[in-house]
Amino acid sequence: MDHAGEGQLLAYLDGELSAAERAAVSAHLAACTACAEELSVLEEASRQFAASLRLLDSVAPAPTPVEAVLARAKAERVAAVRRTLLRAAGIVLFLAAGGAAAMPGSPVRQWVQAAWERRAELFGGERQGQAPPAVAPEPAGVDATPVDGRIHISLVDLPEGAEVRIRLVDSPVAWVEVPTGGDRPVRFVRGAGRVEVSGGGAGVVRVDLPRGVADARVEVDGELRVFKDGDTLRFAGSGEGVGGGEATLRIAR
Amino acid sequence: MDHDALFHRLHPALYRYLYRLTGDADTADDIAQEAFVRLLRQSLPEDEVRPWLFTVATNLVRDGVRKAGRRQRLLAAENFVPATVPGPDEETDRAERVEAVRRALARIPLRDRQLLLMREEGFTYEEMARAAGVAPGSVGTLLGRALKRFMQVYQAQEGTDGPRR
Repeated sequence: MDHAGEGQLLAYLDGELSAAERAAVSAHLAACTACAEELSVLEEASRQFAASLRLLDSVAPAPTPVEAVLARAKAERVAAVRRTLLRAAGIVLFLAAGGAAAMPGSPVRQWVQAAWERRAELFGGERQGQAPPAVAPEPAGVDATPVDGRIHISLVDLPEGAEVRIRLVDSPVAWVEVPTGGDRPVRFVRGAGRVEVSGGGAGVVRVDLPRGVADARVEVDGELRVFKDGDTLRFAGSGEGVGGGEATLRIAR
Repeated sequence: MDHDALFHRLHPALYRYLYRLTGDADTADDIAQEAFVRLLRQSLPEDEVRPWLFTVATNLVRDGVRKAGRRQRLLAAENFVPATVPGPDEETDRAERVEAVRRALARIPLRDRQLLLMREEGFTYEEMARAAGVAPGSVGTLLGRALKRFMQVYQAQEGTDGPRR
């Protein structure tokens, strides 16, 4: 064989060669002075290196006792497991809260909304996505003075289902009040002893008729519906019964 | 895996290896502990534990991992009692030689140190190859070069033919 390489000789020293390789190197070393000398050099260097390490070890401080290392390792392992569990619990809670908050009517959703609004109050931010509080539109009203003991109230094109409450009052003038906010604006047309009202929003229409007038009536869409008879109100239509000082009717077409 | 038995069996060798590798007892102690902490998170066949432990410890040295706060040493260095108590001259001479070994080790590449020191701990070439990330067939050659490199550096410092015994 050719000369043995440095690595091969070291592997020979360390017993890392296969039986066949070892036999081949042994045979070569017996016949090759150069390789035998190289092997001696490596052997001596290895011995000197080991001696150097022993010298170094002789001043080495003693390590932490194994029991202490073991205790610390176990403590850190427990801490690591605890951290992992806490992290997992946090993720689960976050996901659960997110899922619950996404459900309409969920208390979590309300809490989140309350917290968000509180944040806006604290930091001066505007409330997002929230309509201003609903304010009922002011009703529109008009008074009407009777002429020659007569007052006629004409209601035209009131919204379907509107309720009309009529009563006799101790006042010299009549009063008509109509809710606003509907599709059609409220319009009042006043004439001598007469008021015509049209439009308006859903709700209650109030009509106050002076008790002292002789002729007071309420018409709906040109049809007499309620009239004053002495100190009482009467319905003109059949099946609506007889009212007293008050009468209520509902707009139906 | 019986961790207690493993610790008792492997810790002295790992600490010795790390002390030789780094030249610093506190660093060796810290890294040995860290390596054992990491070992507890592993589930390894018993015959793979020792190479794994030394590889991880070497990587910790390589990455410069240091514990932020050095814990109180449970056994102070001064508790160490040498086998013989040297006289003043002998002590100075010994300290100089120790320092020369430490410097020579520090001046060769980390991979050379790793291979040489693992060899001293009795690792096989296959295990050393895995730990150092080299081909198994190259370990002998790398070891031979490392050995000679160390001797050259050491003798250059000592001005001698090598360590005195």
